[in-house]
Amino acid sequence: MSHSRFLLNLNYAVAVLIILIGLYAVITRRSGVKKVIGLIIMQSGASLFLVAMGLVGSGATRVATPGFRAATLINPVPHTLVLICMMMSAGITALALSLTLTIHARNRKQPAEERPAAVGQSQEKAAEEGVAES
Amino acid sequence: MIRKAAVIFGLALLAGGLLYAVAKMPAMGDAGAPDKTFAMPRFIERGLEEAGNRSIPNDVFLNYRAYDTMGGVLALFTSFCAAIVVLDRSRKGRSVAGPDTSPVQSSVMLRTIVRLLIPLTIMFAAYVSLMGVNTLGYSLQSGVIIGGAIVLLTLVFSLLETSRRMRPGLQMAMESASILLFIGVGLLGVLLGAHFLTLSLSGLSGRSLQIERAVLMYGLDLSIGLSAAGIITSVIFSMMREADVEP
Repeated sequence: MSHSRFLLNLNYAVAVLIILIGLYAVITRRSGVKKVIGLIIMQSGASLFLVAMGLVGSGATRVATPGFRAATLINPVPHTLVLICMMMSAGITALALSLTLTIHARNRKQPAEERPAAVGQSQEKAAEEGVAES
Repeated sequence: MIRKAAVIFGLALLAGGLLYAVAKMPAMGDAGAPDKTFAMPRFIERGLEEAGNRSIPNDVFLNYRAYDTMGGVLALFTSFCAAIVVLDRSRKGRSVAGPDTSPVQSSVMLRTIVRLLIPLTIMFAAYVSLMGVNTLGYSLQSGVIIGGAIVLLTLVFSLLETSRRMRPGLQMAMESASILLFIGVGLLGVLLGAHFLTLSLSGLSGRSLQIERAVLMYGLDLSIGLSAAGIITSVIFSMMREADVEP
């Protein structure tokens, strides 16, 4: 029973695998950009799961054309959730990438062994530069 | 090594739990599953008549659950502001891009092709956005397409060239217009004596109600598209500016 159910839900299982691949990238990769890519992969897996869940029957359409039969329409709610998910993903990616870029720029200014103390120093430096230029 | 093994072990445990849950879930496509008997019948049977859009997800997104969508647009705006605050150099007088310092000049062929491609891309974005009113398109995607066109323009020509054509004020206006348009459409309902974000105004019926609802929904849709285009453009500009400033 459970075995056949698992085969019917293979799409969900694939979505779970994609989420886990993304999570693996987020945990193990050192580079911030790769972590962000992992986050995007996780988000895609979650979206795939939601869209798969919206299927009804053979999944005909989501547009109510004139004379449509309500029984042929798929569930619109997961599609809406995925749209919001896409919007959020754009915002999260932009913010995460800008933070990554800032961290990278801060770290590059100092040699590797001085990194722990680098944050305060580079701020001071940047402030001085700003004063000098303005 | 041990760390990696621990990570894989943890993920395997998680996978086991999640796949067990997958095996226990209702079968995919089962019309009797709980998620398909709760809100969905109402949306499908009365969506067209109550919300007025043939694309039912658009009905849910822009009419039934428009408050949630407004939360989404606000969150997008907030993340955009945060990204700009993190990156921006304007306080140090570097808001205007410097000359292109890239060692490789893009070739004439590339520049000509991009110059031809950009208007077509923007036309395509307009098509996607306008089709989204009633069918399978969506303004979010069209906003992303416009953002992509601007990114292409910036990568092939310089940031200086692009920001000469697209001034920072225009970007700012685009980004702020998104949330203001959304709230403006919502307040229109209040001004005419209904609730916030009511799209079916009283005193209208039949064809005029349909048109009015389509226009208001398109306004909401457009605001989301604008915000997507704005966030992509502004963040790529800020990032390239940051890269320019670094030695």
